[in-house]
Amino acid sequence: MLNFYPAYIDNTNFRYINIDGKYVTTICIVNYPKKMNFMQFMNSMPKDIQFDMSIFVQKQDTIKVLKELTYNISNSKAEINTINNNQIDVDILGKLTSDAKKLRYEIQINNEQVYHTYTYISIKSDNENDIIYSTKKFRSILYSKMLISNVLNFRHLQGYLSTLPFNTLDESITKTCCTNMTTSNVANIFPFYTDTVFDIKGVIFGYTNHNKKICNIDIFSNKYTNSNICIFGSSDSN
Amino acid sequence: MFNQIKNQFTKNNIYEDIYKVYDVVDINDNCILTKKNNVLKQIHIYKVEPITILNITESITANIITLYTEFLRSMNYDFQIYIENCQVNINNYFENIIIDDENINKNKLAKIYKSELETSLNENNIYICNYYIVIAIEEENDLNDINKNIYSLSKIGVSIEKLQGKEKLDNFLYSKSNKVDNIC
Repeated sequence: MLNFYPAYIDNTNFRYINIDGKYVTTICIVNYPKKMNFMQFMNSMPKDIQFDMSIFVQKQDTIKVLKELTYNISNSKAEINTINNNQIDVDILGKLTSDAKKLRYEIQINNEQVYHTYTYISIKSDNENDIIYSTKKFRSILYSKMLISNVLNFRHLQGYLSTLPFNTLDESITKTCCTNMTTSNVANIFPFYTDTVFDIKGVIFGYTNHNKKICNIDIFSNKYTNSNICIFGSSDSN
Repeated sequence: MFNQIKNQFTKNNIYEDIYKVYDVVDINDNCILTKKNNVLKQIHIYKVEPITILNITESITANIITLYTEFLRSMNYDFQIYIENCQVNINNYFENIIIDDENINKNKLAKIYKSELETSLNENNIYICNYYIVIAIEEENDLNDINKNIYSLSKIGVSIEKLQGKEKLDNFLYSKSNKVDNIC
């Protein structure tokens, strides 16, 4: 008998689900900035809200992608030749073709690989009104950093299951949230770093000069190589 | 129209059948077993201790990107990066620093230190992130390859530990599926 199950999941409201009295909503990121710098993705996340985030990374068959790209480039070229130049979307079509060509170049010349990535974020709250407010706040912070997100209304249960650590995706929410990325783009969303120095069993040494946050270090932790010496800054630092 | 759609999605569906919602079959000392569409999968979870970056330089960025790209290229399996942003529980922190010696507790300096600490910690809401890599595999043979790839991430400076033990995995799943407060 497994013990981790919650007592109930109430899926009657399309705006959220209720798990043992906790209100949970899920959002997915559907669009990223055109040029994303290193650490930009994790720095965009609001750090004062409790959330669980799942990023799924799925490697694609490069040869299949190349075939599809070539087919689509030839189609768009034919379309550009036939359509009227006064048509509104002529620039979009031109941009799509040049992007597709650039991607083909990256795959063939720079040996990049193509990945499907899906990002789901679940936000929780004890209060019904608070969950709607927190979700809006979270989305507006993401929007200000050029990360476009969608609320998974009517599909919060599927979203919740996708943010659990089972590495499974529900097909009903994958189509809308899929993003194609190359290896260098996925490398730019490297998440395994922190800008706070806070060990739970540590001692407070002061504030960091970088972001004025509390510096709390457990010098006997295994993650530090030597507990006999602790260097807080380089020589000649302020 | 809006109400029609709403009713369609919520009709007769007050509580979900818990046993049908989750695909988990069993939890053993090494992994979680799930079954979806008649495919049995082993879920292996690795906890990643992040690196601390305060002043990033171009050379650090280049090194991290190179090593992470190497990891991505060598990884031939789909993986999930699971991140939880949790608030540090100040009460737990104070329990940790309570000293048994009463003479020290009565000391004026110790009292000032504690009160100042309390105010400064309450002013700063401290949040920290926990990171996990989740892998789902069908065959046990693939595990050696995966372990080799994932532990190669330690070249970047992160430390990796596999979550093992039935109780540990059970507690981990309980906190995630019940959405209990993320408090460290």
